[in-house]
Amino acid sequence: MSDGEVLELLRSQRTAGEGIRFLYQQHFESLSSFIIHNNGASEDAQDVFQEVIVSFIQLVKQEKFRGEASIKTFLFSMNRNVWFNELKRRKRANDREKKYDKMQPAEEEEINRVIENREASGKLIQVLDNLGEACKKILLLYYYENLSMTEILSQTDYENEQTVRNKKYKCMKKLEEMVSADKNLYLQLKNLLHE
Amino acid sequence: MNENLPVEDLLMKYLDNEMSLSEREEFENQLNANAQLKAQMESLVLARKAVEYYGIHEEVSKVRKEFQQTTGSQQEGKLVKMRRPLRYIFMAAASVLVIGLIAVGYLLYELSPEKVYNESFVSYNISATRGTDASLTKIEKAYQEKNYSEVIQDSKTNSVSEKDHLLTGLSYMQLKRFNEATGQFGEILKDAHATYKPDAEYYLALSQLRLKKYDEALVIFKKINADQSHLYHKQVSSGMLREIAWLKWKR
Repeated sequence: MSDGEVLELLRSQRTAGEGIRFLYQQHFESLSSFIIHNNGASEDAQDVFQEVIVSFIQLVKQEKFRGEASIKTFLFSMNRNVWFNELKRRKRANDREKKYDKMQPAEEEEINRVIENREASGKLIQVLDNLGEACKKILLLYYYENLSMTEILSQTDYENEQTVRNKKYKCMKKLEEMVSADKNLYLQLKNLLHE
Repeated sequence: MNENLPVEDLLMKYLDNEMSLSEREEFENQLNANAQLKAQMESLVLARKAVEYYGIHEEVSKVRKEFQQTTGSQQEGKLVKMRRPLRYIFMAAASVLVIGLIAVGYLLYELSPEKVYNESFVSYNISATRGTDASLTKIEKAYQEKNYSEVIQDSKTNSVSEKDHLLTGLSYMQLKRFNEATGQFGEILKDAHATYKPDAEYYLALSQLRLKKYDEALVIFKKINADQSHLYHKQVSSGMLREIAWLKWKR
């Protein structure tokens, strides 16, 4: 499968799964080997790969992956950078003395950005999980799978389309309130989601 | 057209792209004029993006689990982890091999015909003679006194016995005149039943070794090594044969 074909698969929610499976088959072994041979555990390799793929898909959907490098090169580079920053983060966490002045400002900033994005990702997952299964399902069906009200009705137990619409409205309102309640979280999510 | 709806509904309609063109334009004007409304719209957009991100995350998570199950990557992870100690074993083995190769390389570098010669050479003792004659000849006497030049001189002026040839050959060897030494031993070996044939063979081979005639030396040494009854059998080990073979290769 060519890079172009993979990107096409990833752009559409209906075919993204196939694209993701392809990326796992093609690149997981080499990227995970890199981490394991650089003081990482198997779990680290799996977590980082998942994070890299999620970030990559986001970039593709936002038309921010220009294709100047191959997918393979791009993923490898991202994998390496994320892992090395994670190692630095762990080292910094282990240091008794925080010697920030020994790090370059740009380097420090990049680490902080990666750390914040990883934190933001975790918080985002938590927020959606806290919405409850019913809200999560309806919002995903509508905003991620882009299904119509009729299609959502067929996959849920609501009475009619209006009920679905009302439920979706309430869930979205609830999510919006949770997202904007905490200013810090709001800014973190803005950075993560490239707003 | 948007006037009848509560602002919350308008925000949702705008977010979900359910407005007509004119409705959109009207609402956008409202947004631009109302900072609070605009902020609320931005929050909704962020919330929608959060749902999309969550969807991607869940999709990838699902594939990750499938991948682990189908490829047994948990087992693979263990295997990959197991490869690390194995890798260290290989590295240790490789290090030992490299050190071994360096040691062999050094020994090979240091190996020389002189070294093998010096390790193998046994000096010939006249008192261990097989002859019954108690009195020494002139050559024998000179040899015993380590007067090797005189031995050689005497050998040229007088008729030379088999033993004299041996002693003369040995004297040439002492003076590092190996080419001439081989001539002396060759004279003894003309007689297939010579008394001093084993000695001549041994010292001839040693001389050829010093002359770097490894093939010729090996022929004799191999014969001595294979013959347990040979007088010099114990002087010619397999190790010595190997060293000469290395010298031959090194050349």
